[in-house]
Amino acid sequence: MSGNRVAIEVDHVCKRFGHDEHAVLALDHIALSIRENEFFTLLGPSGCGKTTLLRMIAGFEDVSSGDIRLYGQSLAGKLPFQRPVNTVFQSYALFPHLTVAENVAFGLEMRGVKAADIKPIVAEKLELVKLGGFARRRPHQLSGGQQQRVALARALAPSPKVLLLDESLSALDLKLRKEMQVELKRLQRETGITFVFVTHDQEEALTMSDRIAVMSAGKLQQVGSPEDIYDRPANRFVADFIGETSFLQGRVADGLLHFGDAGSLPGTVLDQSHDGHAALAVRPERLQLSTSGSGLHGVVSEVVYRGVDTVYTVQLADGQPCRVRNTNDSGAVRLARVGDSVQLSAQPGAFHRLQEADHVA
Amino acid sequence: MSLDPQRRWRRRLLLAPTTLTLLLFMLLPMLLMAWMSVLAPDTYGGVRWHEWSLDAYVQFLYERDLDDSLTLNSDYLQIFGRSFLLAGFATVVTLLIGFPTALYIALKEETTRQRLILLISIPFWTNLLVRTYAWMLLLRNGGLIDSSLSWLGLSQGALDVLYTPTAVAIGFVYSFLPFMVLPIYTSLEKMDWRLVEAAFDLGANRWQALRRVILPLAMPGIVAGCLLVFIPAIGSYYIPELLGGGKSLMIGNLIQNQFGTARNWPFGAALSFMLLALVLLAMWVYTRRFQRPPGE
Repeated sequence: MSGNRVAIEVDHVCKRFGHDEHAVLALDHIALSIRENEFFTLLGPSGCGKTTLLRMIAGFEDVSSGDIRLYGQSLAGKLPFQRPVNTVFQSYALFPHLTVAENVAFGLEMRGVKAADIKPIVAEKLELVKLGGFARRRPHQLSGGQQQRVALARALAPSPKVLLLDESLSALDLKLRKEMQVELKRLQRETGITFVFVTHDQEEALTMSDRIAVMSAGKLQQVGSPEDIYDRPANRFVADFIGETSFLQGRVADGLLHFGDAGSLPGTVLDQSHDGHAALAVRPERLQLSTSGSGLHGVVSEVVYRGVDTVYTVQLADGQPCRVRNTNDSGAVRLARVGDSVQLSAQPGAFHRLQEADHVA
Repeated sequence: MSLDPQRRWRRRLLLAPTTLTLLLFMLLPMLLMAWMSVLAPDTYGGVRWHEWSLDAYVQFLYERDLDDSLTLNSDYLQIFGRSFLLAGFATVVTLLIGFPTALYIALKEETTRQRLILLISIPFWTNLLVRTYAWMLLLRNGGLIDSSLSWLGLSQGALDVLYTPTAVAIGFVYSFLPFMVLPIYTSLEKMDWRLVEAAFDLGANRWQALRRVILPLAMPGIVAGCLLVFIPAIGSYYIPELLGGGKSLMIGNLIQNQFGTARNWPFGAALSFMLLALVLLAMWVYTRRFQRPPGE
């Protein structure tokens, strides 16, 4: 799906707010390439700089140092209206004094498209976002989800090279958000436009993206496919931010993973290249809990029933807490209660070894 | 929404002071004036309370000759026309100055904004009459403006601007500018600037963003400002009296004359109603033209 051409090149971009010694480094040497026709997501907690980066691409923020290139052309000095990118704003920012059709037509008019040509494009875009019958309504007469679609149609109408989406789904309720996630993915496929999506919702990012850039405190933490990010987090921050993770300290020796008094597990670490102390991350669903058999010894300290699954917190015999998630099959009984002694076993490759030098919180 | 009788009475009681004030000081005088306008004038002012006459309205357009025949007289129409033009001119000029001013203030930071708004409202602390006299001193021949212009060699001879419609227009623009700036500022201040950002994003340059997004959204403030300037200007009395020197009469002066030296109260009352009609008509046309959302 993703072409190989680079659509956007972010070349060691820094953003400083304020002056001199009081300056805050909002973006710290960000370097990444966004490919053509890609659904690219900037993911991170609020304040990580993802929206600032997006606004830089749109032209609403200056670049303190570094450069952003669109198909090889530097965007430096280009004002927002001179850039062939369009934005879907978090607040939608629909023009309240214009109808839905006039909103969608706005970008086309500004780009000098002839009035006769505008009408069919507007109709087509409204059809694309399934708002065919709403052309004459005004924004305030629409629901949040419908406004979102108008904002999308409006941004897509001038056929931008890149579509920027700034936390565009965060104002919607959960059900609508899930719908729009599928919808956005479909729109991206159908239009073939490069989407750059900003979100703090890791599930949203995993669902929609071709590639994800995880950011924290103005720094790029990892860029990769959803699978890369989830299964092979580059550091503790990524492992912690994406999905659920238990962090454990262990020791690799003789192809075994040792956890002191809790015992050891065979062949469960991805990276066994060198022996010794290992900082480990493990997803709760990659572990199994049993009341008999072999594995790491521990005692259940907490049980949370969540419908599809049950999450057990197990205090391992060496004192480290570890979470285990078991899917609730039909008719299954609860495997263990608080205080029960249990054994944990792991799928091959369940434990991911984190870089030792990593101190990102 | 239907209220139970007790609550309805309580509501009426709460509204009573307002209702009473409006009845006593607004509706009653107006009814009195309406009544007066269809009575005959008394010789030394006042009216003859039992003598009905439509003369006041006839007098507006026609002159009664000695032989009791009527000939068309456009004097009063001219005064109305002049008032309309001067007030319209003041509205246009204050709008042209006021909108950029309001936009400039609205784009400043919070503290600067408050300071600038304070500066705009400082003139209100002095009585307008005093400030109009100050303008007389500035505009008169040999006054500050005249003398500095001739000192700079920019004018030959006296300026001769005081006691002309130009002086009245200057007085209007000066006096009513805050009434234009403040409502426009209010509508710009609560505007969602992200909409302007969206316009830029969609390819609008600054001028297009101003014309297509900022102006339409500021329209309620612009309409309010125009009404706040036009209505007091067209009925204004002492600015044309002082700066126009009574030479370029406006409706306000004419009405004052009827109750004063001319001793024709019914005609004064009739003129007041015609002014009211003119203002209402202007308001109606204006709001119909501009306040309707476009595209409907």
